[in-house]
This record gives sequence, C-alpha cells and structure tokens, in this order.
Amino acid sequence: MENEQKLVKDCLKGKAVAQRQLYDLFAGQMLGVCYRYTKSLADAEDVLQEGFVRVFKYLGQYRAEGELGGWIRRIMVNTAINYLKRNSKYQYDLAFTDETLHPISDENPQINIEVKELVNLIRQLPPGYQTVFNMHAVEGYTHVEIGEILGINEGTSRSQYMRARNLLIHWIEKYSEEPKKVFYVGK
Amino acid sequence: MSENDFEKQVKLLNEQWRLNPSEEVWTKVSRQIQREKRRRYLFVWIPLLLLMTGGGYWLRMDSAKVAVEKIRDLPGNQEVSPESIQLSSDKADDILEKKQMSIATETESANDEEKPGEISPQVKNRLSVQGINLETASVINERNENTLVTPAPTISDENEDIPVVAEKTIGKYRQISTELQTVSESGGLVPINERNMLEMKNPFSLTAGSNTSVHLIRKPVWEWGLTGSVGASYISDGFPGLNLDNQRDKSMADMAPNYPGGNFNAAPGGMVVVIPPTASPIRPGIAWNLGGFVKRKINSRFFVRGGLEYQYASANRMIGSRFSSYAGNLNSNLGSSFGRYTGYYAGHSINYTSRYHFISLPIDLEWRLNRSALLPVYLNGGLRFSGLVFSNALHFDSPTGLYFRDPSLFRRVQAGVSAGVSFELFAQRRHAVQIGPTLHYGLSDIIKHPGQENQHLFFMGFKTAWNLGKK
Repeated sequence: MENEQKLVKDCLKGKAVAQRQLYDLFAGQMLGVCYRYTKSLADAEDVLQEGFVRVFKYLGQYRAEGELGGWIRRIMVNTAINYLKRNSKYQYDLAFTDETLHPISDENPQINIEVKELVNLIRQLPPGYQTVFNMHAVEGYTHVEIGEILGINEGTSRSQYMRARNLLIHWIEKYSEEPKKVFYVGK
Repeated sequence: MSENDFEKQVKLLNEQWRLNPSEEVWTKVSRQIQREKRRRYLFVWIPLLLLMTGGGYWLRMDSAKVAVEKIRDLPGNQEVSPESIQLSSDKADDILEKKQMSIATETESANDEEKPGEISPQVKNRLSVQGINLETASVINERNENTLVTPAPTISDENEDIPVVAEKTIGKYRQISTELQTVSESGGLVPINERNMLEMKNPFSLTAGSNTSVHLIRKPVWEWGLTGSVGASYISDGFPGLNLDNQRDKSMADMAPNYPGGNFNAAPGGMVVVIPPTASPIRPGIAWNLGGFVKRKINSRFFVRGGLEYQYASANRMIGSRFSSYAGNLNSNLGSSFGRYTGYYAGHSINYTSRYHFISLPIDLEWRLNRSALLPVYLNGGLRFSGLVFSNALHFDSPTGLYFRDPSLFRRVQAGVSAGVSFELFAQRRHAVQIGPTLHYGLSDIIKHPGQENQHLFFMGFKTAWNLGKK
C-alpha cells in the first residue's frame, strides 16, 4: 500500500519510470477486465490504452482511502462502457429492451472450469447480457448503478442479468460434461 | 452452497484473469501522456507570455504618459491634445522635442533685439506640418524670405535624450533644409542639411551669431560583434521550477530508463517484482558557448538579434567499470537494434562526463527597459535552433544495468527558448559590452524516441556580447 502511494506520488511528479511501473503493475489485470467487455483483443487493448491515459490524467483525484487497483478498475470499466457506446459495432449490444422481471434462479453450481474458459463463455453471452453480467457479477455494481450508467431501468438490468446468469450456468454445466460442444454454443 | 456463491466464484476467477498487453499499448499511452504534458506546459507558457506582453504594453504606455506629462510641464505649453496621451512613447518623444524647439524659439524671440521677419505661407505650411510653433518662431529674412535661423538653445546638454531626439529629427530637418540655417565657423549662414546635421553635436545649441562647431552622431541601425556565455547545464524532464522533484533521482540524457521486457511478473495470488538496476543520479556540468551576432534596431526600444554560436554542454554521473563489448539488443523499444555495444556497468567508481556539442542559431528580441544613456538595461528572449554535432553521452539499459553508446538515439535538430536580462556597459563608446544572466531551455526532447522520460537541456549562466562595429 505504501509502495503504491509512493508510486502514485512519483507518477504525479511526472516521472516516466514510475508511470511505467504503475502500468506494468496493473496492465495485465486491466486488460483482462477490458477483454470481458469487448469482442476482440485489439478492442480490449484500445480500451486499455484509453483507460490508462485517463488514469494518469486523473491520478491527482485518487484518494489513498481505497485500493488503487479498485480505482483503476472503475476507470477501465467506465472507459469500456464509453467505448461500447460510441463504437458502432457495439451499438446492438447495448440496445436493451424493457423486459419483465425474470424469476430468480437459486442455482449456485460449483464452477469447475478454468478461468480462461469462463471468460470465453461470458464473452459468448448474447448482446446486452454480457455487459450487465460483467458489471454486476464481476465488478459488483448494483442494478441501480448499472441502470444509471447504461441508461436503462433497474428492472431491465436485473432481468438481463438473470437471463445471462441462467444461460451461463447452463453452459458451464454442459461444458463440464462436453467441453468442446458447449464452447461454441454462443457463436 | 450459500446464495451468491456463483457470483463469488465468478468474481474470484475473474480477478485471477490476466492478459499481457502488447508493448505498443504502452508506447501509445506514453505518447499521449507526453502530449498532455506539453499541453499543460502551454497552459503555463501562454498566460506567462500574455502577462509579459501586457506588462510590456503597460510599461510602454506608462512611459508615454510620463513623456506627455513632461511636455505639459514645459512653460508656455497649452497645446498638448488629449490624443497625444494615447501616442506611443516614441511619438511622445517627438512631441516633446518639437515643443522644446518651439519654446527655444520663443525664448530667443523674446531676447533677440532683431525684429522677426515674415514667414512665407509655404514655409508656414511645411513647418506647421513638422509641429513647430510658428507663432513663436524667430525668423530673419535678410537674404531669403524662406530662411529661418534656429534660435538660441534652451535645452541643456544635461538632457541625455538629446542624441536620440536629434537622430529622429534628421529626416525632418532634411525636409526643411532650405529654411533652416545655422551659422558656420566663418560666420556665414549655412542651410542645415543631413550632411552638416551629422557634424553637429547638438542642433539645439545653435544660436544666431554663434560660431560654435557642433557635431551630431547619428545612432547606427546595425551592430555586430562577438557573444559568449558561461554557466552550468543539466538535463531536466520539464521546465525547472515546474517539476523540481524529478531532479533528485533522475538520470539525464545519457539515461534512458526503460523496461522493455516488463520487469514485473504478474502471477495469481501475488506480484513478484523484479527491481531493475538503477541509474546513478546526474550532476550539472560546465557549459559555455561562443559565436557572433548581428543586431538590428527596430525602434528606440526594440532590437532583433541573430547569430551563429558553438555551444558546449556537459553533465556528470558516477558509473561502474568499462566493458569492451556486449552483443545484444539494448533498449529495443527506444529504437536500438541488435548489435555490439561498448559501455560501462552500473556503479559508482568512475565519474563520467557526458558532453554535447551543438551549433546554434539564436534569434532574440531585445527590449530596452530604460532610456539611460549610461547604463541601458535590456530584457531579451527568443528562440534557438540547434544541431547536435556530437555527443558521447551514455544511455542506460535498466534490464541489464548497462550504460551504452548509441548516437542514433539522439535528436539531431532541436529547438529551444532563451531569456535573460543584460546591462550595456560603455554604451557611449564605440565598443559597448552587454552582460547579464541568461537561461536556455530546450523545448525538444534530446532523445527522439517516445516511451522514455522527457530529457530537455537546460542552461543557466552569464552572457556577454561585445560590439565590434556599427553602421
């Protein structure tokens, strides 16, 4: 934590070495975040680049109360959402429709697959589901926050999430039985 | 299994998920950071320039007002129009000069026993254009009705501005040379023209019947000579004062701290950090330059100066022992290709002096702050375009901890700014000397590849310029 604070101070002084250290410290993790929101690694790298520029630009606003990683992560998610909103090929993914509340599933299966496979399954979720699922399940945003960020109703967010969750659980179970078949379901 | 276990598992797994971004991402990020930084500098420089311009304008207006007030304070003056207050100081000086001449004429007219003659309408017109008070002018027309004898002086030699005023009026005297006459050494009346004006020390000291020989020196427009400066140089990653903290552990142009391969290995559950060898800090070194200059007068306050200079800058640092050959790829993201390098290990056993040799073309604008003839003070600022001829500076490769040479990494053509204050000594003599503090700041990055710290040459010292000739 102290090291992080020193790193932040050095970055604020404009030290390129410190900026590079900060980047190296979080780039891998943050690319993972960006990758979950986009369709390709190239797009994820674009988001990562844009996100880090914003990180260094607004680093002065970071208060050492929370974790630096968490703060950077929020910036990355916001950058990713903005990227999706302004990029035409993602417009359809964010075209949410108001739907009736989906019944909450009480299924909590054990995930017995590798993280890489889980991420690939998340990325194969239908348009709209993926973003909401990532924001709620992975980043921990509430449905109210998701509604505000994406400009949709809280109910729509909840509904999208439950559909995504059910679909993902179904795929995970199927993948555990027949990995090769399930892996290509969403394509 | 409790509720939300699925989400917890998903979250946990995703937190372990890492991908290695390509090096291109960091290059783009660092390039954008530099752009942002430059933009921030502009936000500092533009208000500063505006402030200086505004301050200069205010001072200029202020000096114009003082000059106009001088005119108002002259006896018998009621003719200063409000518009003249808006004039520049040069115009105000002209008015002052004309008024002084007018009053001198009046004084002479009152003291002279001779009756003033009539002035022809043509002369009246021409003199009124020049601002001479015809009502009070003393005129004799013994030989020619279009002749006017300049009256007795009331302007004393104590007025240090007289040479400047006289210089400005040469053109006007030429225009009315057939009307203005002075008394030659032989006692005869001689028309004042450009030729004999140059031989007069003070045109206002002429009196009717005086046989004093006068000599006026016209101020030159062009000056040339030698210039040189000596001081200390170092490399900074920004304009000193805006980013001073960086100097402590910052390595200089001969240090390019980069981590091409990424020295941080990310792993689930923890971060293994490999600390690279660090470059030793840089200390300022001696710097000097020598060259020639040409100076052109724009008006009584402003001058433009250009020149050609040889510039030497240096910096010191402690390094380790020498190695004769290293085959590999050092600082590949800086543009170095695989090759065989010579250099030094990291360490503190040898003091290494990095030397930079430039040929520079400075262009400065000089602003004369005061009107003192004894000690003129100038504020100057301008641009410097430099070509790096040679440098033995080392680059630092942090993954290997090696200092190595690679001249191709330097930016050959660089631009910079300079500013300073100078005092002109022996201003009344032929070979005046200007001396004063100066500073140069390189706007260009010394290293031409993005992705490393900014490295700007900074020089602070004393500058001197020796006038060899004038024209």
